[in-house]
Amino acid sequence: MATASLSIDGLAQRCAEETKKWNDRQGSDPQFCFELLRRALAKGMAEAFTHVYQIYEPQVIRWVQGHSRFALTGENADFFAGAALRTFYFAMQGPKFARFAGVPQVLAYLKMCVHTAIMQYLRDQHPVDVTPLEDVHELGETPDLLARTDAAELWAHICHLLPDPHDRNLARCIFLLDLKPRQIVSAYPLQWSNEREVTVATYRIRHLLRNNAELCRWASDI
Amino acid sequence: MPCSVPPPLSADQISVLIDGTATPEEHTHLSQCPYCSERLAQARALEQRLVTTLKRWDCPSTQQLGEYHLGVLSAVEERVVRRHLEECALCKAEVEELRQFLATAPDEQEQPQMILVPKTRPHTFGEVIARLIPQRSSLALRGSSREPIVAEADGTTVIVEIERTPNEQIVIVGQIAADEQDGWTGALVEVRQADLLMATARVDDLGGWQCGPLPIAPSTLRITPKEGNSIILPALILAS
Ligand SMILES: [Zn+2]
Ligand SMILES: [Zn+2]
Repeated sequence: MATASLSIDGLAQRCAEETKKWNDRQGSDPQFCFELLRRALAKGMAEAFTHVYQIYEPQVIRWVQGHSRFALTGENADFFAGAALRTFYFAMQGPKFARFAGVPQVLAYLKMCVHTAIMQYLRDQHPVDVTPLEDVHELGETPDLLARTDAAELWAHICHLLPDPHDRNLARCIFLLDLKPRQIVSAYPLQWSNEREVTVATYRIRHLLRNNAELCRWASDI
Repeated sequence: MPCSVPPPLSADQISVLIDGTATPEEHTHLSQCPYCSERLAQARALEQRLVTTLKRWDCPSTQQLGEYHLGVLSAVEERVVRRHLEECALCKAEVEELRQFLATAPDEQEQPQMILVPKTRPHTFGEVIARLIPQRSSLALRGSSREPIVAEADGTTVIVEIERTPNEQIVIVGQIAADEQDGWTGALVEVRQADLLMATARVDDLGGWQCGPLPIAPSTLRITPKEGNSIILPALILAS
């Protein structure tokens, strides 16, 4: 049957049936779901997306519940399912859909959105900047670095103080990744053979940074 | 104020105290010496300030990492992410977790453990609950016997009208007005009744949208722009 001639309701009905067969491990025909997804995403037809949401939401909730970090969030599965489906909706709009060869690829993307919703949530749950930039600017008489403080410039300044790539890598581990010596050794075994090496090099970096007048002003003024 | 138990802790010892790898002797010194404790506090302040400012500032978003893993990034973005992964252990670990997650079939999934974690919802998953603005009847929209519902959230106004169809259903017609109107073009409208998604709509370039026909029941609206917070209109109670 030519899927192109089917109405959205007709496609949705067939897609729901085929999805059930697939879940029951029976042979299933993906063409109806693919056409429904195409109309929902490539064509931006809201009615088709409503069906996509209704058909796949139970699967998305199961993916959320099966994610190893879900329990750490304290949220409901529906919360991440909704977030994942919305990300999926916006990310797959228009011509991007053409990059996906079939239903398994599109669903892999949807499953990926479940992972990213949970991981981004956990990243954001530990807010990294305690002082909003507006407050920093209000301080008035500020040294150069402070007046234009943001992460990129601060990092460029630190890289300038640490010309050795080895030192820069370690500074990245300490300040960007917030890793402790033991974690650094296990994450970068080729660069570091033991904690003592990391500790000694860290000491040298801290010494260099602490003796930089601009950085100290920046730290003490905030 | 001099060190209470000289010699004072060296800069090296202060450094290991920050790392949490100090010896018991160093901790004992600290507990007896306000001078060295103050030096440690200062060193820690600089350290914490650096970490809070710099933490993961140049990491790609989780979505970019995911698209990298699935091979759907553009060539330029792909190169940037690949280079980043060479030096970032945390992003590398996230991609590895994704690989494992995608490789797990549903029936191999572990049962979710029940760990209760105090919830502090992060700002980026923000949703704002709209505030209803009471209207006088004279503001009723043209051709409607019912007053429109006007709600406001974060400077964005949402006007909703519920129209009854001849066969006892409803159609929800909405309009969004914001300073940044363009940001709402293409936004996704979701209508739920009793927590079930009943309909979606796409906001057009004039801020308008329409959902339905739907059964007559309390309906919750969520409008999500491509970037930014969702606006939630909690159950619009339909007067008879
Ligand atoms: Zn002392
Ligand atoms: Zn990273």
